[in-house]
Amino acid sequence: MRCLNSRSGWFLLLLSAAVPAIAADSDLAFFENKIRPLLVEHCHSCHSVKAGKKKGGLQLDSRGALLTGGDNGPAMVSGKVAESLLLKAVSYQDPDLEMPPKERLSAAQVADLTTWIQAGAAWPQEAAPKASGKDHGGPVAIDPKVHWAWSAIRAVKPPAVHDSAWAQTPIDRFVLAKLEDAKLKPAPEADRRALIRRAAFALTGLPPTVAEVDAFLADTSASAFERVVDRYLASPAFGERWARHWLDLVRYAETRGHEFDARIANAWQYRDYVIRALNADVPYDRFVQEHLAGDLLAEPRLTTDGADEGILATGFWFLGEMIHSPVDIRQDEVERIDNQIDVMGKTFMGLTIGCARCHDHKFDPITAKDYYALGGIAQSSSYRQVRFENERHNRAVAERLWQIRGVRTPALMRSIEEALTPAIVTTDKLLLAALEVDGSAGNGPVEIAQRHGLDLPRFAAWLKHLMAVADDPRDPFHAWGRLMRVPAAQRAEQVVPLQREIAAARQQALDRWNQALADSTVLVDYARQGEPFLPDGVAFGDAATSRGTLRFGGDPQKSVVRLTDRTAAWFDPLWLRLSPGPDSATDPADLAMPRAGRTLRTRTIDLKEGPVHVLMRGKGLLYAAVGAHTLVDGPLHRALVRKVDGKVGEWRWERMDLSAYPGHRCHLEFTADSEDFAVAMVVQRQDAPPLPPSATLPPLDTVHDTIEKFASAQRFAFTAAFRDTPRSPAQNALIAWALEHPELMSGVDAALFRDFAKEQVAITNDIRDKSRLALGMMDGDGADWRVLIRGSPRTPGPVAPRALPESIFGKQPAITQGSGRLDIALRMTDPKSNPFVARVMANRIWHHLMGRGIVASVDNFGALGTPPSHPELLDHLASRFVADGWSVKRLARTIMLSNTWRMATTADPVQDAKDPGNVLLHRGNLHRLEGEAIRDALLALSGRLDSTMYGPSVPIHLSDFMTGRGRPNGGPLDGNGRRSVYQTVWRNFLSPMMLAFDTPIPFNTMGKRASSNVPAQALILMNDPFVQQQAEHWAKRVCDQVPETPARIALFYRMAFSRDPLPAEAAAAQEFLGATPDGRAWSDLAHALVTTKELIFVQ
Amino acid sequence: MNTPAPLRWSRRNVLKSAACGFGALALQTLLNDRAYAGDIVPGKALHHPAKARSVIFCYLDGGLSQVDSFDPKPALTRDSGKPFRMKMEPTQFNNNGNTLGSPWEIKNYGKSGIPVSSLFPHIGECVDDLSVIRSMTANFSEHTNANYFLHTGSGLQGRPSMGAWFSYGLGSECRDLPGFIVLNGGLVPPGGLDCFNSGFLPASYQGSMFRPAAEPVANIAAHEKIPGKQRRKLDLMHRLDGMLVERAGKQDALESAIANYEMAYSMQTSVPDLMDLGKETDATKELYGLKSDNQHTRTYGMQCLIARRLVERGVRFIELTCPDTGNDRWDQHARLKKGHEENARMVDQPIAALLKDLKSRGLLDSTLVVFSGEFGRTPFAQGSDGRDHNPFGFTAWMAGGGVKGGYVHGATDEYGYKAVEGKVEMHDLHATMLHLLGVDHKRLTFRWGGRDMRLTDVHGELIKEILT
Repeated sequence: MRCLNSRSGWFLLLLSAAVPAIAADSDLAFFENKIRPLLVEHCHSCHSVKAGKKKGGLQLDSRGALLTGGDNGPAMVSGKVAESLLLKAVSYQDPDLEMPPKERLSAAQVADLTTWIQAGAAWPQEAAPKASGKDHGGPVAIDPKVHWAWSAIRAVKPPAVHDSAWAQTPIDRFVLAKLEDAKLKPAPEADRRALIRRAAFALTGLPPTVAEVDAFLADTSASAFERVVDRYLASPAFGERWARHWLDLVRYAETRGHEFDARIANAWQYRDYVIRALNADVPYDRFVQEHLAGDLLAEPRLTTDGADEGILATGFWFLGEMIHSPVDIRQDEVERIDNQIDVMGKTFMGLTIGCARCHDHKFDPITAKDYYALGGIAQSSSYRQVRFENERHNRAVAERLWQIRGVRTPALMRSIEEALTPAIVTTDKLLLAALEVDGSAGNGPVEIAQRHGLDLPRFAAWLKHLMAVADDPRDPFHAWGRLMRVPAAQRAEQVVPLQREIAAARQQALDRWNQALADSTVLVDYARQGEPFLPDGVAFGDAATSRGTLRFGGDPQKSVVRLTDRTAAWFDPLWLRLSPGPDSATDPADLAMPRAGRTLRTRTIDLKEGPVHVLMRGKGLLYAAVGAHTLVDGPLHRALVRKVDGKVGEWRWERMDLSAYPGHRCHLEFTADSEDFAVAMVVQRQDAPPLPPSATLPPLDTVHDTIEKFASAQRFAFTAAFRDTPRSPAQNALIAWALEHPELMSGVDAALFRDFAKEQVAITNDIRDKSRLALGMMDGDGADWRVLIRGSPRTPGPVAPRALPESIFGKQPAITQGSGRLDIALRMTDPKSNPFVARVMANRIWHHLMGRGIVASVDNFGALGTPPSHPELLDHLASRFVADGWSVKRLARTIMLSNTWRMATTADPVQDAKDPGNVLLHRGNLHRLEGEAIRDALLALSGRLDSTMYGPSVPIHLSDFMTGRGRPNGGPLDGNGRRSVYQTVWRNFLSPMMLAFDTPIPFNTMGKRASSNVPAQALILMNDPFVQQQAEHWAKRVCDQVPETPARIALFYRMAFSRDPLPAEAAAAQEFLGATPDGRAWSDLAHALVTTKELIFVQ
Repeated sequence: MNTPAPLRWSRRNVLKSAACGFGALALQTLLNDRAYAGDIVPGKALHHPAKARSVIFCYLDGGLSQVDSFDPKPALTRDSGKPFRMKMEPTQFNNNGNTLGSPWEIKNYGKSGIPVSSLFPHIGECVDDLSVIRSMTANFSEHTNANYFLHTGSGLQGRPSMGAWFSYGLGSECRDLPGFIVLNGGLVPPGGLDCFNSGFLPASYQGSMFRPAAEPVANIAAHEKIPGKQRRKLDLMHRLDGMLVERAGKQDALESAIANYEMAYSMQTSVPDLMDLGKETDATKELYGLKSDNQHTRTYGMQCLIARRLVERGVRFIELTCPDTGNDRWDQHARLKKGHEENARMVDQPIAALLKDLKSRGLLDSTLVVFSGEFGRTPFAQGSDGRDHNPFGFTAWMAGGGVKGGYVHGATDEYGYKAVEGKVEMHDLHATMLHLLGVDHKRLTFRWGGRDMRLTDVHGELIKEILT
């Protein structure tokens, strides 16, 4: 409602300007006969107080209501047909605004409405209808001051209980107190075999080995179970198990879904990050901060070899689905951001912030403004593939390099001057000699060079250059080239007019350039103060490179040295060697190029009419992130990507035809693919502007009256260029030119820079040019979003400054720099200002261990969520979680060492009836294993489990039923024996076994899996070739280990169920096997055991 | 094949599964949890008397051209080859050509005289049973979004398919087959199997894919070579499970998982039985085109015939996807004539046969047959001989339980480009389909992510005009 209120002030103004004139009787009659019936019949069902409907915020049952209008603005302006939206809507001119929606009014009806509005929209004096009931979309249902989830976490003292012997831990006392209130008794402790099986599956997702069970049974000390828990917590399998829980929250997948199921390059790096982080027990607040701002945290979390762990977490933002060719690219962006906010809100805060997209949240105190405030944060950050293994390392190298270059520059400049001096001092001599060449006998280049003692190859190069540049006004020696073309006899008299003419032409070019810029929308100008400089990595430095800065080649051993002739974003050729490390994919389709570490992005741009032109040089890739659309594939948006190339050393304008996107927001990304790459500016206009004027020599503000003086002046221009500080643009350009033309100037050779080159090499030897890539975020310049009325990009409302939801965090200082992610990451994880993060995670851990959250709706702590069954216990866990350093493992340990966790699951009809659903926890919950755990358990039993961790996913096996567009090559039936967490998650080719056992479809946060029951589950365990294959391996393994039938049967039981068979079970198995079982019979027994419920239910 | 014999199951379980169908037990558990409870108790409470009990959805993957089928436009023929006179919206390929008249002839059929093009002479004969909706609209111009939208009411991935909603709301009347079956002719629509998934609904409601092949359903065939071996394994399993239940006590999850094997086991028989057309008469086979010289007609004919057999068995929602004629579905961006002709030849006779057969067996009154693509096609050419996607106005039709026959609803403009009268949105189509099966679309909800989710989101109005 906030968004509407802020508009109403404006409406009031409008209203006062439109006081109804006294209407003539005939006008009123017209209204009553034609207009009112029309409104009642065709409009009021959706737009009237009587119908209780206000679609689009609009009511059409009083004159005031029409003038006020709805979300799109006033419905009519009295007397102004063209400005009246109502008429626009009924005339079906705009496909987004066609009313009535189902049936167009007749032409006569439209004419009547037009006539009526034209004539002043007469309406009799009458009271506007009043609503009787409550206004829909009114104030929020939750008062944050009183709703439990908004209240601060309180460290509650555990209550007193009667059975204090049972209630050993605070958790037990909280649980028991409620049980005692309800006249319930806690169930007895589960037997030790059940306990270790439960613990193993809970913490590792695998069955305990026979040895583990035996060791536990043999350990009679009081701390035996504690040791079991500690061992499983320390197992690498813990991270694999709990990572899968986490991946459910962030809709983890490795493809984009939709039509062609394009790959998400390197998504699995995120999965590995989560596994490592959980195994390392990274404090959860830090873990959250890394997800929100891992790229921005002051203190990175580095592995021993320098890889940046935290930055990998930001990849979760980009794991969503994506469409390859959206016709409405803006709508598409809105949907993607919606998913990001929704996932972020639910995952970390247990809040359905996504519900506030179209209107203020109906139940929770989350406004649409809050939603778009977060949206602005997401929108202010862009996608990239990050060189996480050595970005930090290479930055350190670059900084040393920048430092040494800074220190050495003055000396280097002096060396350059010295080196060029011999060439410079002969400039005038060369120029004058060049004029003597006329092709006549004795006046050929060879003779003249000899005559003046000039080096012949160099003289020849000069001649060639001068003849060529007569047509190139941008060359410093253009004037001399022109002079050479003048017949020798006329040169003396032409030298002055020629200089004047060229000066005038130059001035014209300058004027044209300035005028062109004045006529253009300059979107980006790296020479401009305050232009945001946003590089991915260090290859463009940390700021635009000023004109006149020394520039070095890609090979630090060699002496290629240049001077920048413009202030621009210059690529440092040293970094051209950066390349993706092993197992690293590039983005699909049109962006398939190694861009990481070599890319620069611009500020956020609001596109206007016409194409965009980039003033640049070198070879590379230009990409316009319109609507942050990165899956560029297909004809519709091909214009967003261009591969470009041009002549070395020359600036040029590259055109990007973004004329289809006026009004869209975007930024550009430039990726260097040659040493010469630089970008100076970006403008938007119809035609490319002229090229910027270049330096001339000598400065033509002075006219030299003789050829000799003119020649000398050219020479002195060089010396002045080295002498003057600061150098003028032309002087810089001149030195730059000299360095670009060694064939003319010679002089600057390796020897000069030998020592410097050594220094450089020593540093650059440290560069790590290969890095694995991962998806990650990159901070842009901050750009607030607007509230989109009804969630539609076509109806932008007021600006929503970037911030966290006000009902929790209050008013926050404005974010002035960048996206603001770092701010929100720190604020969100401060338990004093935000109870949600700690409570939500404590509850998730409880949910996974107990089978039901204290708040059962684990992703929703709002009004529509389930209230906590044990609110004090939740606060106890949350505060303990924070106090224990946000340690997931320690909280899990605390829970598992309680008597509450250790209760048996055996049903008790009397107690169950008193506590249906076991909400009060009078016993343990029976737990149906997840698809992943079932598959992993089968591999563990068969001995085929390959415990290799991490790395690219194993392609899942594709059955004949898994068809559709973009069908990839499938993998082996047994997934190479790797754990399920390492099998691919291809959105359009999800594993049928996982789907049948409720692995969520990756589209949104799913903290609580369903536990459904479908025949497909039984069919899989009965008939799937993978299951049968593993049963066979299992049988063989058992038979190889023990020879006797009873021992084999016992071993099956001990492996699968962590217990010995009961006599009746052994007898049943024996009966099944028959007197002389063969190998087949053992496989069949193994298979039958796989289908028993005990395998997939943990007690 | 083993001789099927019922396993030993408790009477209680059988009754439960018969009453509530697949997954209902698991759902009961879910319902105990306040946050996940929907407004209705699935399978039990219909909101009002139903007209139909099953839906057959003939899905025209890729987008059938309305102006070449059920919405003929003389103006298009008149202006063919000339620049298109209306403002063109952006299209998928933005390679828009001139106005393109339909290459097919039009004939008026039946008592109603509704015109149908020569692409569909057989369906034309059934026109007096159809409510032709000429004013369909979709929100998306891309296949994938539009497919999700058509199937799930949302343009994004991951939402429950309408078939899942129907079986969630109404359960299945068939004990040994799932409530939502996709008869896959070969093509899987862009967007993949997620078009048929259960989204946030429990997996029990996901579409089961049946193919006209040796193994029609994944894992339906037992691999045990020795007769009776599978039975013996399951008997052992059952014995051991029984012992587990004795120790673990009465636990719904456990018991329904046990019962599940009964359904799976009986599916091993019921599915082959379903697919075995041996008992169908020659006349029936002839009618459906099973003897056609066109292999795609034969395939689709078989799908239609099996659809009827599924209706007879009480399956709630049946979707038919098209076989691949090698023309890239109905998506004729080029070579409209060839592509549409071959696709139409594939479906025309079988669908007409389905309508006639259902009718003659008295099943049409209780079956809703729906015919639609994800969008229509542009009246102007793409290139010279194709048509691009057009979500602004296209045709769907319904027939059977509760809808008028020989009726035309809504209209597009004179070129068949945009719906201008009686505009129908996808949500309206869904709302109407649910209505005909006795469900109020506003009250069929599932609490997820803080909202009571609906197939129709916050939209949907009945297409009252077509209701009998």
